[in-house]
Amino acid sequence: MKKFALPLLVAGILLTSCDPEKKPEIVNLEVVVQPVFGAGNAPVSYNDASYAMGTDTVKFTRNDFVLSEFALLDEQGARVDIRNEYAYLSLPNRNSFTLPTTIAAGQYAGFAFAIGLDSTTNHGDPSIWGGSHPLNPAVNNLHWGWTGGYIFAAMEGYYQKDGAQTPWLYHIALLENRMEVVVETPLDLTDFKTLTLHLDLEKFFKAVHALSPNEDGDFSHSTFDNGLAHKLSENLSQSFQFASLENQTP
Amino acid sequence: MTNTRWLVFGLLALLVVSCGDNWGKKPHVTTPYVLQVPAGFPQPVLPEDNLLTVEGILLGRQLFFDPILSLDSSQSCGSCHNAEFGFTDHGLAYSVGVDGSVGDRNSMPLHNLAWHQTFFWDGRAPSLREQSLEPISNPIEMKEDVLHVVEKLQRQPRYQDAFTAAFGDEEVTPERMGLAMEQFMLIILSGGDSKFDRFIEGTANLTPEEALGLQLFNGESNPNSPTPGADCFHCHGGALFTNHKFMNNGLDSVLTDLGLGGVTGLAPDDGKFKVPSLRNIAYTAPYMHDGRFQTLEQVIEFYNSGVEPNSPNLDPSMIGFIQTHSGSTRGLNLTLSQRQALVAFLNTLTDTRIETDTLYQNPFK
Repeated sequence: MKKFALPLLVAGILLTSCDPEKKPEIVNLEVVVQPVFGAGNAPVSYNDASYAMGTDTVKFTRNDFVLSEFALLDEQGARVDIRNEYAYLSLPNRNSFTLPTTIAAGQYAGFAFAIGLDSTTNHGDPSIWGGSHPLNPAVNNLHWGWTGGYIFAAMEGYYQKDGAQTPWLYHIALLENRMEVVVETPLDLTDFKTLTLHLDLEKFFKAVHALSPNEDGDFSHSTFDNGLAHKLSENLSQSFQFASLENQTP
Repeated sequence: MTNTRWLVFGLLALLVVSCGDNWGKKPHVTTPYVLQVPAGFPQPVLPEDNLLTVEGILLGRQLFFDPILSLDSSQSCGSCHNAEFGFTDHGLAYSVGVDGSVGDRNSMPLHNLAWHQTFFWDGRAPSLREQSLEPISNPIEMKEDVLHVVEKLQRQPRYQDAFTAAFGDEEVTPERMGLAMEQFMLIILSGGDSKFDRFIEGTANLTPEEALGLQLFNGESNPNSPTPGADCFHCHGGALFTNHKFMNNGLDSVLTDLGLGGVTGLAPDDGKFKVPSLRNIAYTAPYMHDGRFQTLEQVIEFYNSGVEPNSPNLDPSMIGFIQTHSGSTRGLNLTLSQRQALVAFLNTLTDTRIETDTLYQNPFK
């Protein structure tokens, strides 16, 4: 019997180590943002399609964002920060990013991030960032140059005014307009997953404050705008919602 | 012992055979070139499959300035991209090809191309290596067959040496020509030595007029703001003075040149052209994709009062240029002295190194 002990032990170890069901201890997380419009989650067609929004008809041409301060919420609702990560989104083409493989695999209760940057990063030297880094001004075109800081969200498009197509432009910047986004939803991150969020662009105009280019102003650079950028930032922070969580495709 | 001897002999024979054609051949060695990114500039993404080398750059420069690239050996790339004019065409609105054909777009300035992703006014070239070959065969430019250029170059000992130095052997191919010219154009920089750059680093002062121009340049056009602004920074902001995008700035209410739309076939792209850098703007008159404005004063006046609000696909960033300020006409509503201040500021962006740096100059002169 003794002569079988060693081979059995080796076979046992081999079988355990090859367990195809074994889950990773740390995972990454791919995040995809899909722009939609309205309760039906209709995909947004940029540049050409028009969307009825109250008394206005709007088109979307640009939705660019600088994101930071990512976190998962644990099952008690506490933040589990994913530090020193940044993302640049330019919808619809550049619509995803991947948080690194440092996340403890497990169950979470939500995902959070900021649209915008903290003061130090916002006013730091933008030339330090590598050629492909999300905060490189040549990558994101969201840095205001020597006037300091980044535009956190650049929202642009057209609306109908007196029968003519007219531009609207909202550039949300400055620390007081930095946006916290929290999407509370059960997240099973015991494996490498793709989290898809919907950005409901109708909510951008009405989630908290009902706003329209015609009535409330068709542009803002976040100053001298009677608080329009701040209201829009409050709307935008409430415009993201959970869509799906799926295993990453190899 | 005998077996060991045979084994050693066999291994040596294998080594000799495996060396094949390279037996006794020197390895190809090139000299890396480090692009000196001006202070304050963002980091560029250089092509990983075409690392900058001194030998590649020098070959690219030869090709760039050699009229052998054209049908009758009368024109080089440098003919329409002259360093003394910021690598543009001698103040001409349109360049003239080898057979007298007149072009339909203004010769673009060549500098800081390491930060660009697409090329030409309409973005039709996705890389500099592709861009550099197109004018050779363009019927209204050099009007030559690229393969014929290859034959001509192969006959020249100078190029046999230069291609060997850059690529390891004397084979001339269109791909290698493009790679070499890409290397040369990637190293042409404007920045770091203009008055504005010296002001930013604290070694020069702007005049009060230039300082006002800078303030206007970075100020927004907003009827609610107590200070005037020219809204230039939206499209020409940052250290590179361009956002590298394709935009319609409202030149025309009826489009005669579709620009990007002519390439993509998409109506929302009609009328969009590449936003040029304003560095070295004093060198590069006339202005706009069709060279319609002879002076910077004319350009400023256009932005002050001439932007067409009904231009198809007018970029939303132009909204500041079509607003109505209270009690005034539509536009930026800048005074004459404010417009002059903007011109004064733009002139601080001139970096004369572009016409004095020997690396950028014609090697055949």
